[in-house]
Amino acid sequence: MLEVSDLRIGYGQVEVVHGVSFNVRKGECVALIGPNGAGKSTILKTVCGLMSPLGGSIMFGGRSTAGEPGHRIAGLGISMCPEGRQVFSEMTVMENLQLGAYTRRRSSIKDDLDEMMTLFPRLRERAGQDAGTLSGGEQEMVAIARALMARPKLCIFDEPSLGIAPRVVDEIEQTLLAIKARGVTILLVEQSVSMALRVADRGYVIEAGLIVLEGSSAELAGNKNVQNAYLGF
Amino acid sequence: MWTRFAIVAVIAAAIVFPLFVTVNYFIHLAILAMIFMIVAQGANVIQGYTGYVSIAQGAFMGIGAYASALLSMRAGFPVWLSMLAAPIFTAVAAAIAGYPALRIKGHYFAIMTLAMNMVVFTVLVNWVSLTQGEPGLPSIPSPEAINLGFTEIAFEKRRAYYYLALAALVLVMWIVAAVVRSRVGRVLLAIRQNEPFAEAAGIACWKYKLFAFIFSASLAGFGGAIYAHYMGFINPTPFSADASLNAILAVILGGSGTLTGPLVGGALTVILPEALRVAEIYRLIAYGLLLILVVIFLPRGLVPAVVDGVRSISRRRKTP
Repeated sequence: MLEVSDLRIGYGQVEVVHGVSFNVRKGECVALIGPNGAGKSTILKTVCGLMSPLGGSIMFGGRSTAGEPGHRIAGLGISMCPEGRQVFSEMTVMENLQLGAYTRRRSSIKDDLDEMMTLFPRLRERAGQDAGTLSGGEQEMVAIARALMARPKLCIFDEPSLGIAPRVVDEIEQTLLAIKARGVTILLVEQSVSMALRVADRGYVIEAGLIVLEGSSAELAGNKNVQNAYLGF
Repeated sequence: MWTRFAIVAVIAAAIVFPLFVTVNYFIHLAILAMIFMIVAQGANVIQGYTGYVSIAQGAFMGIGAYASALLSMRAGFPVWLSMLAAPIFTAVAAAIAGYPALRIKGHYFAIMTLAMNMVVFTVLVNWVSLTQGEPGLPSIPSPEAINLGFTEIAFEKRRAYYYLALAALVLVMWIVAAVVRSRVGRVLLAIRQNEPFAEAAGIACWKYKLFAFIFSASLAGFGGAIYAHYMGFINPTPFSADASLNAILAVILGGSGTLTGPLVGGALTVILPEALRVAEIYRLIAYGLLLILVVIFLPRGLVPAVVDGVRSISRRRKTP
């Protein structure tokens, strides 16, 4: 479904991603893991069209999307749940979710709103509240629900557990598993490697802008280097 | 319910105002204040609701003023028609200027619009065959009188023009309120709060930003047209970057991103410098000091501060 090959990305003159190739198949959950500054978020931003690549190709559903503007890529069915609980803080939870469905016809939205409220019961209580007044975990749920409201073909999560209370991280893990069980294709970037490998089917390890290792989650979890570097064995 | 009551009360007060005020000078100030409220409301659309500070409101006001004046004087348009054509003229200018300018963000956008204002000002000064340059355009006609059968409303008279400006302001407020409460208004707010996120949600942000820019400019153009036919004479001076900065100031003073903020701010930026004349040569110092104090102590502007104050008092009463 998503086919990235030899992708190179830079900020100004500095190249930070040096030719990365990976793919995500329909119905799969793929994780990109690696240390801070490896280029994971940069890759996601580029896939979503918020940055332009220096070279390489991105194919989504058989169509080249490299360098297309973000709103057009969103229209093709890639939805992004950005890093750091980004919500429209001065809008209510309900308005946030409605904006998530911006690319769709309005008539079909109501059922999905109900569905999100069932998936996140806490959001139902908070529907009329400004999103900025919610707790970190609740804001993350708004962000996730907003991304799902677009009924994406591919849903991208950038560090959903970043800066969130450990108890809520478990909740988010359950949520990701629930989303996956619905058949949504997921590309996940996560610093909590143990959680990422529990949720994902396959993973790629990225270090300093290069893929150094790839394999199924079980293989990665069993790899000595991954264990030493990320799992704290 | 209370809002509707307040709106009716304010409009009623504005209608009876000239009946009680006999000093022509105050009517004159009120007209200028209302014109400037229209310009400030335009600035509010791009600055307060969309989050892009434009320093070109003055230029667009000038384009509207000159367009309306020249259409009525040289092209033989009826004044009413040229006043309505002025915002369209301004909108076209804003579309041409905004398309490239909105590709850049933040301070860079602000600087770009400042440059636009300077370009427009230079053109107004130097295109003498069209604008007559620095000496300006004299004897711009007033709108044609309206004959009601039993009486005739002549707009050379100050009081009649007061009601014209008031009607224009009410119309502008109504349109702006409708826009910011619509789906488009929601999207503009989303862009202000988090543009990359809005883009990732599938919103073609540039279209909405361009709309906001054109809309805000055409309001300035409309204000400019009303100004031109009121003063009867225009030269480039009132359309320099100073006017743009005043519009920004009005939005910040009153409360940016609120509908009523630009009304309060627009009135203050016209009336305060006049009221401070008692301070004679210290006038500008006092004015500057007041502005600094407002920005430090009421950073969100007067209207949100007053609203919050009233709310906390009424809450305290309910729960003693």
